[in-house]
Amino acid sequence: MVEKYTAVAVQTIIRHVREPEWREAIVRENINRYLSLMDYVSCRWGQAKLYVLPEFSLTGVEHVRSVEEWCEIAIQVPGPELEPIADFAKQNKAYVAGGTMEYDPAYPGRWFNSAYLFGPTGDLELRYRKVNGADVQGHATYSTPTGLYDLYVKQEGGENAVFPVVDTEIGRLALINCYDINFPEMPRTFAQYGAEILLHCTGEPYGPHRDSWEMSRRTRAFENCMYVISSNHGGYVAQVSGDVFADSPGLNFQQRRSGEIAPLHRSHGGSEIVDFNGKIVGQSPNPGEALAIGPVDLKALREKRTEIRGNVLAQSRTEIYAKEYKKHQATGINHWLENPIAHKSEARQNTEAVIARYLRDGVYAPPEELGNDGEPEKQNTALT
Amino acid sequence: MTKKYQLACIQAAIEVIDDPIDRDSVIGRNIERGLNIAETAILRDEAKVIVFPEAWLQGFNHTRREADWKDICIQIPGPETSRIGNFAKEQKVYIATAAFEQDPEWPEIWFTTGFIIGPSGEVELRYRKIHEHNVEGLIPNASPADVYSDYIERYGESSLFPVLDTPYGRLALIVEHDMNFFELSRVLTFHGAEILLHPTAEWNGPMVQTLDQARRSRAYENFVYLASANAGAIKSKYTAAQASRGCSKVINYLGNVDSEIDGAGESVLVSTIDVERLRKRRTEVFMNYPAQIKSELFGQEFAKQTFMEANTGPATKETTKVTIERLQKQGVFARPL
Repeated sequence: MVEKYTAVAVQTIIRHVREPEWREAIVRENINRYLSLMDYVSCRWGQAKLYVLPEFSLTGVEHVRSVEEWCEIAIQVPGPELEPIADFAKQNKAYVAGGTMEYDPAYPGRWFNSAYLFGPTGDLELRYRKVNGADVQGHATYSTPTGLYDLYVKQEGGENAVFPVVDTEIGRLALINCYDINFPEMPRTFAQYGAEILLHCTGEPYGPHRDSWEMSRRTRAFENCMYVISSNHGGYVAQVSGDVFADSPGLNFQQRRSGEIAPLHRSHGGSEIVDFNGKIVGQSPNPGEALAIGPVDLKALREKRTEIRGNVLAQSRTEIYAKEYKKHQATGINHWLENPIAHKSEARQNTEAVIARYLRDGVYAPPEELGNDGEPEKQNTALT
Repeated sequence: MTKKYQLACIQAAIEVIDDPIDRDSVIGRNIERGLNIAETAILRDEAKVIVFPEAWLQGFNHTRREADWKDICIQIPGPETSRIGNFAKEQKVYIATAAFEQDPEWPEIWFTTGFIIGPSGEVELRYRKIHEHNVEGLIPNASPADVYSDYIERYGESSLFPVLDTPYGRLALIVEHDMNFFELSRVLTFHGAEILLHPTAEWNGPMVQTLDQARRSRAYENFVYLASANAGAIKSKYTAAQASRGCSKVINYLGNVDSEIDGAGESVLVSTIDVERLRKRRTEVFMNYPAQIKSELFGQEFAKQTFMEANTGPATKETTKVTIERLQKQGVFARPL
């Protein structure tokens, strides 16, 4: 076992695949940049044992693409595109995790928002597919394992395939993506399966909820006595044509727009390493390319878990709450068991249906501006 | 329904019952002082819901002998709650706190119990603290989880997670350490809670920053207001006067701090609760966590692995020790290197 080691959240400006035919070149370019930065870490800081890259770190994201086109652009895990990352892990005897859009031929007509972890043997140690996100928000068309739960657990060999944890010489590692962090039930379930270090591949834009998301990372770390390593994008840039990128000098607004679907500094960066007390031990507080470097003290974590005082994880009363969760009907599973999600609006409808039911059943009280049936009043009715 | 109103956290200076013989006089002084401060918040700021710290009436004395604990317990309802009830009725307000309680029908054990007294003058909600420090050997009482089967047989399952529907929104209680356990706030949200009243007792120490973060997470992940009232000062032979960290806070349903007291000292915090805006936010799809939670999936997962078991009988330090050893044996926790 390695008692204490250095971990790095690698925050980069991600290049974005706009046209499917650019896929290969851009994925390679993104990977090359990660490799350079990870090499920099080994030169400047000495060997790190664990590197975490952001969500959709190879292809970027594009919210208006069709399912068919995503299946074409998404990569396979493991697959040829990830070989340079696997090689880096092997050469440096390190672990490297990152998020990617993934296509798996075992699930035709679907794609996943996944994360991978390669180990010092160069083998894939973990593959996680995002559980919370597009299936309730309506911003993309990736499938979640819970959307096709019955099929998924059958094909992947069990329910715990949804929450994979790997036991390694640097601790028990698990992966989550972005939005997952907002649900305390996620890290808790991973903790049940033994997780000690949660690798959070994320893509968090600026917005009013930014601060609260950051709180979430720290609270998850504290309440589960685990490290949370959040690697966010430092920015976001698209190719306009050939080797001209949206951040290339001399482009006018229209030219920039033609390649860009988001501002360069859409993401706030803020990658972090949070220790098991919920305290930040490594941080790159700003957007842009940066490295959040910090220590992981596995020995201290395991000792903390043997303490009686403040051992919130051991003190948690899972048993009595399991019943309450089971009784309660919120968002279900198996929505896309028969037919894969075809349009992102299907996901939005899921949440709309739960809210309408909550208002009807009294889980949510309706605001006075809403009618008693939970339907928003047609505000323009009076005008017609 | 009142769309918007003022809530007051009374950061009380609590006189501790150092000697059980002084029980009634100490409780009397704590109530009198607390209600006087509350009256000002009502007259000056039109506060409608008032939250007092945990142990507002009796104080927490770490040297208290096990036999003495039962002597300082109150009954809920009982004469003390009647006195507070008279005030609540006269002022037409809701008052929440938590106290050490002996249920006369269950003399073997006692609880830490949160309660809300309404303008009816009666105890309208009674919640027994689930996450008690008995598991750390700090207090020799019981949690309903310790005696779970017996508890639900006596009081019914719905008694565990009560929510009170009022003209000031749906109120629920979490007491002190409860705040660190996300499942409780989530389940109360499932039961309709909108405003979590958090009588607490938090001392200075290395975890204060973490507790502040956790408070914000509880509010944000459930779209609830969280009003934490902590003790501002302790009057006891055995305790530093400013051992309690104060820092009472009101956090809104977006997880942002609306108002806070910077530190210790007797004080009061009045803050606006905008129930209508909370309710509107809950009708929006975007990041609607309480609606988007896959409760069925997690119910299924949580049922697979128990951390601390229910029905152990009144928990002690030993309960946590046994739990940790079991978790190590099951491989959930790795043994230390």
